[in-house]
Amino acid sequence: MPVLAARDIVQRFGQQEVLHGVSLGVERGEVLGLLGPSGAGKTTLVNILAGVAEPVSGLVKAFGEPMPSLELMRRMGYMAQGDALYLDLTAAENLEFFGAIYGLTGPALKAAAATALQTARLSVEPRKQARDYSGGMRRRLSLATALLHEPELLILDEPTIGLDPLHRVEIWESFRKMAAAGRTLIVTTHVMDEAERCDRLALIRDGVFIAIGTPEDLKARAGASTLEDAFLHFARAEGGGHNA
Amino acid sequence: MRNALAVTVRILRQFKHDPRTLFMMIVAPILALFLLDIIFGAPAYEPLVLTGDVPGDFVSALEDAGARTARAGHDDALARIGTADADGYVTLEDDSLRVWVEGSDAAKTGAVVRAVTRAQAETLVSLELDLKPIELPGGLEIDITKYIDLPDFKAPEAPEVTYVHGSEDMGSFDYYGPVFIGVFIFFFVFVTSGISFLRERTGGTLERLMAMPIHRWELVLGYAQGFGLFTVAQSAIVVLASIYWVGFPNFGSIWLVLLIALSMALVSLLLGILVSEFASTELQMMQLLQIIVIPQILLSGMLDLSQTPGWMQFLSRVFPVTYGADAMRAVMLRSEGIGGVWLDLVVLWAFIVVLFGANVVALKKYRRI
Ligand SMILES: Nc1ncnc2c1ncn2[C@@H]1O[C@H](COP(=O)(O)OP(=O)(O)OP(=O)(O)O)[C@@H](O)[C@H]1O
Ligand SMILES: [Mg+2]
Repeated sequence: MPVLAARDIVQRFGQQEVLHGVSLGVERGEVLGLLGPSGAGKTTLVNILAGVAEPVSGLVKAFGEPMPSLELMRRMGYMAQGDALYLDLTAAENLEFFGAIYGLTGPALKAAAATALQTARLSVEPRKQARDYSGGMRRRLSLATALLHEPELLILDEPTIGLDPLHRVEIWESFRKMAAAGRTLIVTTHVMDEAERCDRLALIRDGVFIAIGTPEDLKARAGASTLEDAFLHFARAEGGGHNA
Repeated sequence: MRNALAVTVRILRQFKHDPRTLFMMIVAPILALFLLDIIFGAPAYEPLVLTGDVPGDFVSALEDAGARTARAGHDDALARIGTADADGYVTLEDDSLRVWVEGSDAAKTGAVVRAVTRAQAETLVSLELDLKPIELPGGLEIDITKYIDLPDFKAPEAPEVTYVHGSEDMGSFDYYGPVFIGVFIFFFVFVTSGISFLRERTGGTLERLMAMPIHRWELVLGYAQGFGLFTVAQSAIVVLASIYWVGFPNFGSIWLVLLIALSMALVSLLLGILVSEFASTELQMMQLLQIIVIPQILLSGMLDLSQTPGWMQFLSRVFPVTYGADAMRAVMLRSEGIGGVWLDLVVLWAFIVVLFGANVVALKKYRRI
């Protein structure tokens, strides 16, 4: 049974149809990358997967049960493309608030916060409001708040955007560790070297999956040496309707 | 419930990090009430009335009636009135008084006319009192008042006034004061809560919360509790400062005043959150404030509406502020107990319940469950 399954998701904003019936399934312990250009519909899709938005039609099931459901959300973690932090609170206060919603308080919260900050490679400064953190630090704080309750399924919308190469590599190492521990990740990106680190990649363009498979598989099928060339190949071929 | 508490704690922490807002919400209403008290408490305006061809008695009567006077010739007087250098000009023409007024400020015009009318009445009275007995040679006195039945021009004595409510010391502002207390709390809570929830939406944290296991009602309740606690403190300080420092009269229970203030604050808070749904920037929030809050305040009974058209009176009955203002006045000025204001409180709490529900439903836009 896939940890997360989506079938025939159609999303529309006013007249504009942004997702034209996409389907995907993610297995336990897998890192699925959603790779696509700006405006392709990545954020729209992950918002639906996370239960933050509802599609016009289609079905999302997490852990075998239909979304949205508060019980299922307890087992999921979501990081938005924007930092979605309370900028007037300190890092510790942000962590405390998000932790409290997952029932974490006292020593349990302290331990969880320490682990999450370690995973996100952030050392917080007491008293400093999130507003005064650098952009990259806010990004990592946002990631830490999504990791607090050790969710089985993580949905991360461009988690490393605005980060330096060193932090990016370190954070991807933690992603791989989490996957090795049996947790499942869905990560959007438009950075090719990050895409290489995914178990499977779904290439999305204009609201359809144009190709799906392991990075090696995609490159082989496109006869290309880099993912970038592979993406261009599939984009030109304009093959729609693949299901991940 | 636990989640609501987490939201409450978070809101209180945000207040703690924003001392300026705290300061504004407490000091601004007190400052406004203080200024209004001084403005309304200032002595009545003394109009400058130029006097032309009138007897000296009349001039001193004018001064007794609260006017400043100066002699002036006809043309000169009209010129000075023309430039608003004086408020009025009075002279005798063919044995009748003629009055010119500057006229652009109705209050000043009223003051001139009142002074002239009172002076006229007074000189008439003193004229009658001047009827002295006529002394004839040889020590005979004829008191004509014994033979002619003169109308009684005795100057009226001040009537004895008994105050059913209030007291002799009450200034005209004291009638408005209780309403202003409620209105200011309403206004400031609306702005702060509306903008704070707007930030929740524009900052992406609302969306994020909707991906978390928190019920919609828990979020609204958390806001109500957070701002509720804060407004308890805010209303207490504003009410106490108004009564004990600015010197508003309060003839009723301070606890009841606080309960009414808190109820108004909760209505305002929930209304602010609901309205923020229709704004996408803080500027738009201010625009909505002008449509939604200002009319409520104008029609709250702060100004007397009893002579306005029926639709306006009806409209004022639709707005929650009106009920809060009524109750404030009843308690602070007429020392009514809970028995006298329970209906107003019931209406306010009905608004609270309905607005709470409306907010929970409005959040469905973000998540169905
Ligand atoms: N709330 C909305 N209202 C109207 N249109 C929207 C809305 N959200 C997204 N869109 C449109 O949907 C399309 C896909 O947007 P989306 O944010 O999913 O792209 P994306 O793949 O995440 O891009 P990026 O890499 O830049 O984040 C865009 O054309 C965008 O204009
Ligand atoms: Mg996006």
